[in-house]
Amino acid sequence: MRVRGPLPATTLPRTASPLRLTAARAFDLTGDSPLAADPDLRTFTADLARPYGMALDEDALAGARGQSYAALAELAVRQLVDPARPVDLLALVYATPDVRPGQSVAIQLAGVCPGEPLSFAICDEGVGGTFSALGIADAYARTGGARRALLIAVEQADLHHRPHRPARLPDRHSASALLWESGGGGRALQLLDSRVDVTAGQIGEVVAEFTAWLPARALLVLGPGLVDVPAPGGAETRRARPGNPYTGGWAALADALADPRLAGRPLALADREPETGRLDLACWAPEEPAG
Amino acid sequence: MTALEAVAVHLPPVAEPIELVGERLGLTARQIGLFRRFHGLDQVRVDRDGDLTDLLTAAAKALAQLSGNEHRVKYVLHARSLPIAAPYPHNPLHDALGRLGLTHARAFTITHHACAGSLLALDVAGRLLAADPDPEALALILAGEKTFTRDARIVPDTALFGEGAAAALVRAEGEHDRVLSYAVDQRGEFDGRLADDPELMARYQRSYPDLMIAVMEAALNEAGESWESIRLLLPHNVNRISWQRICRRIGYPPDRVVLDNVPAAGHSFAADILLNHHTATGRGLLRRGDRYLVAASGLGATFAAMVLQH
Repeated sequence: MRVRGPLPATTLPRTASPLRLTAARAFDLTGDSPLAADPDLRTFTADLARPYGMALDEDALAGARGQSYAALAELAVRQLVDPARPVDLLALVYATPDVRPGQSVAIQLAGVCPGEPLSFAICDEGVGGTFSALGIADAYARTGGARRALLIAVEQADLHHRPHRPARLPDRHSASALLWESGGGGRALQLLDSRVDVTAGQIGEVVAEFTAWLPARALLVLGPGLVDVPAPGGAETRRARPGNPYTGGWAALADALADPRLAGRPLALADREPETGRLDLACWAPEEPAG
Repeated sequence: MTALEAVAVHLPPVAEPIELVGERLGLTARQIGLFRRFHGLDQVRVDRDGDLTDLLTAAAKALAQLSGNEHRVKYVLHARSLPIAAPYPHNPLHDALGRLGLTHARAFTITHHACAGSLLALDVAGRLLAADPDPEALALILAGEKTFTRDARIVPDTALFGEGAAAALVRAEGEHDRVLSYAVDQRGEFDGRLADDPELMARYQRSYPDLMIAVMEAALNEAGESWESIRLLLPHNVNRISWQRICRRIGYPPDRVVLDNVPAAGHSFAADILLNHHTATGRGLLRRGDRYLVAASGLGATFAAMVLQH
């Protein structure tokens, strides 16, 4: 059980979050979950789609295609969390539906993850959800609610209804996870900002504005939502895999984090959710020495 | 400390008698009779023509204090029981933001605490606001869901869901309805479909009173309060009988548990505690300074409680 008392009205003057980004992992999960063959998936999806006049995707249902967010997230927990360093806060982020759409996976994760963290899920914000989760973890850390936080973004490639308009879908089942810890080493979150209602014609201008804010020698990862944007001048850039709209940016960040040649440089990620028009930016300081 | 600035409610105008709801669900006359006589249910509110966007928009528009303060709303949180509520990429929350003039706000659904999700949303909103550089910033919590599938219509032998909705404005600091404590207990051993698994159902029902009482008493202890100092208990609206039994166990007067909405609206997912707050303040049951307890559980399972000062 987690219990806490009253919060302060404000953490101002802005106290620095003790959390540092210490590790990140990204991986794919091949094949389909046995849960994709559960008849409940058809029932739930049919009831969900009916009021919106959408048809079922009979091929996806008959083929029992799709992956489980519990399976993806539990793998992330096993890869990133050391039982000797328990987690206080766990946020699962998704945009596309799970193959067991009615399951509260985060509750399962609270029991699986060392530390029995306060666990919950964020959705309905597209790629912005993981940036929201970053802000939430930062807020918990600064109000005494977390000393170690795990953020897990998941996406699975199969819809079981036919969407009423073109929708971004991953081409594989993937997860990206970030571990934040206090107590030595890692990278501090230096910047977390966003712009709303960014139209397609304004994206390049806003990305250039974001780039100008970055510290010297920063490496900027352009997320899948910025696939068509020319690389801005003024910073070295890398591009994420476009086939992973909701985890690809974080996967590219994980690659950069694991590269020892980049340890002394700031790392940044920018991405845009076309459904909401929000463009987000996060930037981490160079790695601090451990201990 | 985190404070509720205002709470508003939207109850759809159609009230369906539980006999009609039960008949559609294929319940027997005995099962329906048990819901009425034993559990204290009478009717559930439904919005036959509206969708989730309509429900959330109506709840937010019922908040008089929102009008003119839209620019101060930095965060919008939909506290939702069901992990998925619309076919992707349809996004009722963001559609509602467009109708409310709130597209500037950071908005997301917070879920996987099922019907205890509004307590989590209040904790998350409070922390985001405490960490926000703008002391005038507000968060808007929305709660309410559509009863679109069987699992969103009935908890077997326990509750019938309704489509009541609610909205709350939250501040980092306020004069009333301040959050003194929050306790939450997540129990993954109760994951599963209760309707299909009688053993799980029996285990959950056996454990429920102890777990509910434990989380409420943890919240009381953290706030330095006791059952004697708690003016009201605002519960989730699953049924009357479970709360009457808990009252007997803890020695708390049942008439201080706000159960008006159990027969009037049905179990409105995570909106229950906000509906009951609205009822309590509307009936003048809380005086300034009174301590009160809100408590809810969600299938899966999550147990949560919060102590507030009116």
